[in-house]
Amino acid sequence: MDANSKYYEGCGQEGPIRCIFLCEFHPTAGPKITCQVPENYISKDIFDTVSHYIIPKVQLQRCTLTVTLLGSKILGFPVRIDNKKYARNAFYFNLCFVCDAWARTVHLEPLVKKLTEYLLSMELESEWLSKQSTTGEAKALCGLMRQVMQDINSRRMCTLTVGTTTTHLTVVRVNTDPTPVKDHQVPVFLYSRHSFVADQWDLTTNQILPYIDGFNHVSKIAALTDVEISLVRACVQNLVYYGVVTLVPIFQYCAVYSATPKLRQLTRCAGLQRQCVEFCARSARQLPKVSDIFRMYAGMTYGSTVRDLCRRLRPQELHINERKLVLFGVLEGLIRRVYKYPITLNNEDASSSGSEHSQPLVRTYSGLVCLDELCCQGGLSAAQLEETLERDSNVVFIVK
Amino acid sequence: MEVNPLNIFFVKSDSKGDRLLFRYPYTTENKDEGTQKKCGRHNPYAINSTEDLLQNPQSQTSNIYKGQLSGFTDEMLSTLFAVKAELCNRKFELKVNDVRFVGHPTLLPYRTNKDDTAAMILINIVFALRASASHSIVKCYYDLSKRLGKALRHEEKRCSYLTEEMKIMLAAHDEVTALDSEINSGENDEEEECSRNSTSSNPYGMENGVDTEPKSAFHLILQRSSLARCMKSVFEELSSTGIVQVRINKWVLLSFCLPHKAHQIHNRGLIIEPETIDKCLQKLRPYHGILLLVNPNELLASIPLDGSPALLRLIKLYSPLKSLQTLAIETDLSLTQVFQLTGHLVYWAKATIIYPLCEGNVYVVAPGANVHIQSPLVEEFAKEFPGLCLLQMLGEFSLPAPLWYVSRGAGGGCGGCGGGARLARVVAWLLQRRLLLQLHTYVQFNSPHWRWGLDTDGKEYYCEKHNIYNQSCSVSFSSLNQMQLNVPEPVETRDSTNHFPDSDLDYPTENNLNQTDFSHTKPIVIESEHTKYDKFPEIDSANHSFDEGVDVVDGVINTNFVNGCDFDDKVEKKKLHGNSVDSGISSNMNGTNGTETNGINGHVEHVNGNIDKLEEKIKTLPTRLSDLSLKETEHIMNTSSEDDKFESNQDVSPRSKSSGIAINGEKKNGVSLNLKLQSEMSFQQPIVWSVPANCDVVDACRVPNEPPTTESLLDTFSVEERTVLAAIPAAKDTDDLLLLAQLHKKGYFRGEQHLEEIMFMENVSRSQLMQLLDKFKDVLITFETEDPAVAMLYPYQ
Repeated sequence: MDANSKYYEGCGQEGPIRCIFLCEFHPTAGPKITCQVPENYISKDIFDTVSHYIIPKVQLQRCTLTVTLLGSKILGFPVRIDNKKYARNAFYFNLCFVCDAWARTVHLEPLVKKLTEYLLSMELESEWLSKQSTTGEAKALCGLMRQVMQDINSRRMCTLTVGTTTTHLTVVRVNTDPTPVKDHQVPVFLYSRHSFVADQWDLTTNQILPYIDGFNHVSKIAALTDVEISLVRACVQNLVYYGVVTLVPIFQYCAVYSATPKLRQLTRCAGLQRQCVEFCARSARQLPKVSDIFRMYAGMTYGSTVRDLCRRLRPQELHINERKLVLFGVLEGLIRRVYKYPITLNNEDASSSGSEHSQPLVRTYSGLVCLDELCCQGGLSAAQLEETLERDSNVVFIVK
Repeated sequence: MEVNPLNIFFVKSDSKGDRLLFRYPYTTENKDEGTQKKCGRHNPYAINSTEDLLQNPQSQTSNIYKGQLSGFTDEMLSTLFAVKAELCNRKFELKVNDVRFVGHPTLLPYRTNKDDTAAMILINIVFALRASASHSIVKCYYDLSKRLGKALRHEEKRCSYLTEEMKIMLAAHDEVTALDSEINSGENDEEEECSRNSTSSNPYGMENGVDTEPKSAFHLILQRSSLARCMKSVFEELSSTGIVQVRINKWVLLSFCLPHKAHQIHNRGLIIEPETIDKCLQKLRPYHGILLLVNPNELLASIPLDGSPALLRLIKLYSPLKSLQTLAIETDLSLTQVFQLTGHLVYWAKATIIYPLCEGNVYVVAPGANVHIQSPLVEEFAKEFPGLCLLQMLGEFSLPAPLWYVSRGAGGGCGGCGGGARLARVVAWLLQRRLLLQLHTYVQFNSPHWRWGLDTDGKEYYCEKHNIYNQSCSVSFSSLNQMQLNVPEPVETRDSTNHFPDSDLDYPTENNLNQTDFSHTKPIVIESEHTKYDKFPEIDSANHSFDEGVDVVDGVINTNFVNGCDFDDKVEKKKLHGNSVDSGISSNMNGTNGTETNGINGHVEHVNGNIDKLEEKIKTLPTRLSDLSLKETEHIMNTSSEDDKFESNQDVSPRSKSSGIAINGEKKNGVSLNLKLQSEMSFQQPIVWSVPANCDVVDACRVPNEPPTTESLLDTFSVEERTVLAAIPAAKDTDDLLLLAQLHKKGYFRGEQHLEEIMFMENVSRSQLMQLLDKFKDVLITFETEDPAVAMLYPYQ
């Protein structure tokens, strides 16, 4: 398994927790491991070399520390409790998770912190930790740590109960903030809607969920559900963060798509072919041919709209649902949308010639907003908008 | 943003303890502001719940304040960076909240004052980065730290440079401490420590009436120590260009490139990771070309005196119109060497990979092109090309049309474009900024029985991603079910049979080769290539520097020598084939032998005659070839008027009419030569999917001595395919059918190779191919998309 080149440092994948240990600053022996699950994962030698980062100086208390040394990654959150009752007037401890050096560990940081806070509160209330460490047998602690390791590795969540207190730990993926949702974008589920546990989500999200079908865009959903559009945007953004939905461009017959190099995958991967055929079929009884689907995708290029393509290849006769075809292609990255951006050029001589239309208020287009968005804002059809823009000689289109 | 370093530290640790000798920038945070910040977040109306046991005391979550490192004292950092001896000479990585420290602690012998007993000293040059910086960025910084350490070790050994510099630094520290204690003798201890730690010169500093501005020790050091100045320039060059060129102790030249930053030269926000560059270089083919991102003269000037002469030659002969193969011939280098040099140039953000500019190229606006009305590029473009408007120009590329069509001013918008030469410059400019993307046409043979998912064994091939979906059914389109959202995907342990889902961005050819057993179909050549390839990404990025160390240069020289021999060998072997090759062409080419072909013919015979003088001839042959290829490019740029007849002319395109024969002759040689090289050197062959072993491209590309019969070629089609083919009227023409079968057999109709590649490898003209595609359009599906190798270097969403 070690030879597996898939797990290299920086591969960005999550790995299991290899070990959990609690270490403390012993009044006479210095830094030492009180309890470790599994036993001897971190040897005494290794611990001694890194102890200086695990029981650090005062300024680094209560900081999330991650140190990558000697092939493993150690996450900790060092804590100090000042109290006269302890030897040296303070009790230092740090609960550490150990992962492989290649694994991503950002998502475990809040977990370490919360677990430490939990131990801290128990220590403050009943000296739970220090009692165990002085008696030398840390059965309860070991049991707790073993449970955390097993449950987090297998189910990514864990409920701990010690005495009368309970705490819940769960791993939450750390993603970058999703970009703001635009009105013309279409949310589409990446999971089945039936797998949704309705009571996990807030009321507004529950209200809009039935209308997320891969074809309604955000402002249409807002209109259909009678929910304020900014709330819909916020809900969708939240769903995007959790990877439940993704955003795709709105389907229009005047839209242009272009094949990507990934399209070749459709010719090889039987799994992809099967999914594609099932997804794009008009009815489940009559499945389309992969070659026809491929021909449809291959026909998508700059300058040819979905309408042109449908006229040419007649997807109805091939049992292909072209909307689903496009949706599948976008989701799988086989095709990408080609947007049209109007830009107003501000050259004076051109504006004088174009003034015969004498429009009272000419809008300028900066090239940041695509046609879809403009249509959505203005409530115009794409054809209408394009017609007015074509008439304006100052406007050029950039297609990308 | 996150590619920039936050800080650079220089720490030593020896028998006298550890010390932070220098840091840059050294403006440390103001304590007052720090506390204000902590309180400032709180709502003044909120109840301060200090009794809450769990939240007390508030932990610090960020160590970056206004883009500067904050919250660490120098003492603390020096203890952190002075690692134990066991951790020396390996990577040191520590993350504290949102700051990541990376360095390479170097242990080196150190001459203590008089007695020449070598004590060991540990030095650590540490970079502070934002924790969000990607792993490959961290790796580059680590590499830089390692190299700085090595350079210092060398200089210490050579002339005790480090000892001297450390003396200066320590003296400065002591001086300032002494001064401080004098000034602050009346004040309390805490204040003193504070000012010592945060050795001020603070921009946001409050003028808190300390009479003399306490001189920062670091400020003094910067004035006195050349090493400190080096580190400062390292920091500043990293933050500005990403390319570091410093001479340590005016002796050791340290060149380093942070590709993530350096590639932002024309595109802000474009982050290209070295891994991407490596992947791109693996896909490099002889027909690709390079486009310099900087002025060639400036580039030549920036190369140090001991730079590789091969590189200089390459840059001198560079043109965006030339393919790498042409360049290799003109510079008299082996193709592998040209590939390596290209790799260097791309890594150092001096060049990018393109398909050589020619009139048949189809460009569209790149999807990631960031063009809006206020874009600085608009101004730049207007300055570079007076009279042209960038936005209008990009508007011209809204529809995919060959370049000659655009140059004709089809839209009328850029009527003043001023001919092909200027357009070529415009296109080059746009390509440099990744505003244009080239589209290629790929061909897929439409088998009536859609069995593309099957490999040779008849087993179904699954790419990794869909294989997982298929097995677990956890995430699929039709059976979206079973997956409870509140239970996130479990993390499997490493020992279990399941694997972590792989995010394969591009098509996983390697995976496939690993998964399915190709051993019996795969020519051994591929095997060896693979092993060579595996080594490739492992090459230390140090290798990418122009003049890193003697060892690297040595390596190049070595390969040069070996390749040189190979090259000669190849030429010799090719000679033996020479006559048959030429005769093959002349029969193909309507019998109109150009004078140039004759020239080659004669020449080849000549060589055959005088094997003893072979070496001289070899030298002349490439120059001859290069002449021809020059002509070719000229033709392509000049003979645009004749291209009008492109469609109407039935048998031969004007291009191949005017220059084709000569070029073809040349190309033939070139191709066989280069394929021969290909099998020996390490670049990938076209991936041959489920093609029987006899389909070795190397063999296939050599023109067969006796033309294969139609029957034998038709064997490549299955029975069903043959019936479909029989229904196509064009199949009656044996020539067409033969060409189709030939190309099909060689695996060109699998959507892997674009038309230009087929033209290059198979020596057919574009019009021939276009006619073929048109005639067999029922079985050949074409699609237009970008070349993945080139597109890799584009900013993608």
